[in-house]
Amino acid sequence: MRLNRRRPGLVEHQGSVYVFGGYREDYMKESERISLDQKTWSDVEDMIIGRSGVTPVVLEDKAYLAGDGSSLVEEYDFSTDSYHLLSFKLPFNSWVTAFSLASTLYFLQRNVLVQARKGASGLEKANQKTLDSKNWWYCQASPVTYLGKVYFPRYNEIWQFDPESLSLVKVNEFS
Amino acid sequence: MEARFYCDLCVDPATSFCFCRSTKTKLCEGCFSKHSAKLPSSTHSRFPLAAFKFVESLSDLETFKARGETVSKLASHLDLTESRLLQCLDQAQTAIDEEEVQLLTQVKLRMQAARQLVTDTGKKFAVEIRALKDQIQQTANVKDLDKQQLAQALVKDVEKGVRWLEGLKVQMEFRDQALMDSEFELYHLSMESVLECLSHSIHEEPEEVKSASSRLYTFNPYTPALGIFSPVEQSICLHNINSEFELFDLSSWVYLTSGQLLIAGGYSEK
Repeated sequence: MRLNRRRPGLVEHQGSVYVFGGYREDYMKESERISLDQKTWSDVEDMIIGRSGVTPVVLEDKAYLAGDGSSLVEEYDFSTDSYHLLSFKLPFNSWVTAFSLASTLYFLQRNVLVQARKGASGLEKANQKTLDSKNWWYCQASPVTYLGKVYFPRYNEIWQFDPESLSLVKVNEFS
Repeated sequence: MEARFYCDLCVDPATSFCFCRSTKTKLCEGCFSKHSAKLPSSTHSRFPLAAFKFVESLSDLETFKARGETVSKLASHLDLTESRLLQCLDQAQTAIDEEEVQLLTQVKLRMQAARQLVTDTGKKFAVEIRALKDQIQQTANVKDLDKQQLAQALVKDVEKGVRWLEGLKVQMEFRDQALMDSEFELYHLSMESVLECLSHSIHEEPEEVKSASSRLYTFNPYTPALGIFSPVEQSICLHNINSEFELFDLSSWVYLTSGQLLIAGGYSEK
């Protein structure tokens, strides 16, 4: 990478891995990408708001970026390398774990789950629920979906999210 | 010796159990309705006796049911894949049979043509030999020809005969080669259709079966231990990447479609 950073958001898209934001002395707007074929880094347009602990989630050729730095979500268009700040707002200005399932975006923030779908003005809130679980922070790795359930790590723990019951369960851990 | 379980309500062998209370009730085929009637306010569900010794709580039952559903789904996908492969095998066998018939017909036609060529050539060769023999005889019969002139005439006609025979040999070799090339072409086309069919079948994998091979990767900071979680088995296995690898704190990583893991960012206090 060209710039050192902690807690960046990573996502693979069409032969490249995009690195969004992170933290280095302050929240970073700077983003970059690496071409997996040529192994070369190149610049990506800066985010509108500096963010750390970003879990980018891709839906229909756009990445949705939320995380510590603002409670507002911004939309990155891969085809034009540009951002659009959405009016859609999350409950807190803090780290987020995000993923998509069947055209719905899920944002886990502290102990709150927010569901959103694409609408005329970007994202529209579909549901919000307070979870009976610990406070969530950002997801360090890309989540995996299996038989309709989403799995993601939190350090040495593995958690399962069931979109039908909207519940989070710790399914395994290693020491 | 295999353990036998007996119905809690009678002495018949148990076939299922119910988990309506804090303890498990073993039941035979006939006693489930009696058991349900005895405790009408409870929720009753029958579970196969095979699960008896593995289930200790309601959450175990949920896990048991979830894993049963997963296994059923995978089994149905395997059945589907098997039927597709069998269908593909039938198609491949039909394609091979059809190509075999075509190939045999082509070989038969070409053998007939080659035999005809040999026969025609033999006839033509016999005519040429006879003409050559007549010419030599005529030359030999000329009384006023001296020995030198006779020898030159014989050599000239023999050379003509040898050149014709060499031409015939080259022509036959060329036709043999052409026949072999043609056979190879037919065989190649036949195998291509079969391979394409197989390849198509292999890549038509249901999404759930594909995702059954998906894994989740996670690390403990400052260690080389990579934890690989399988959603199917709900288990983790640990791998040490190598002794020099150390994941920095606050790094992020992404599992690439190529099967590689890309780790970026973080910091170390060293």
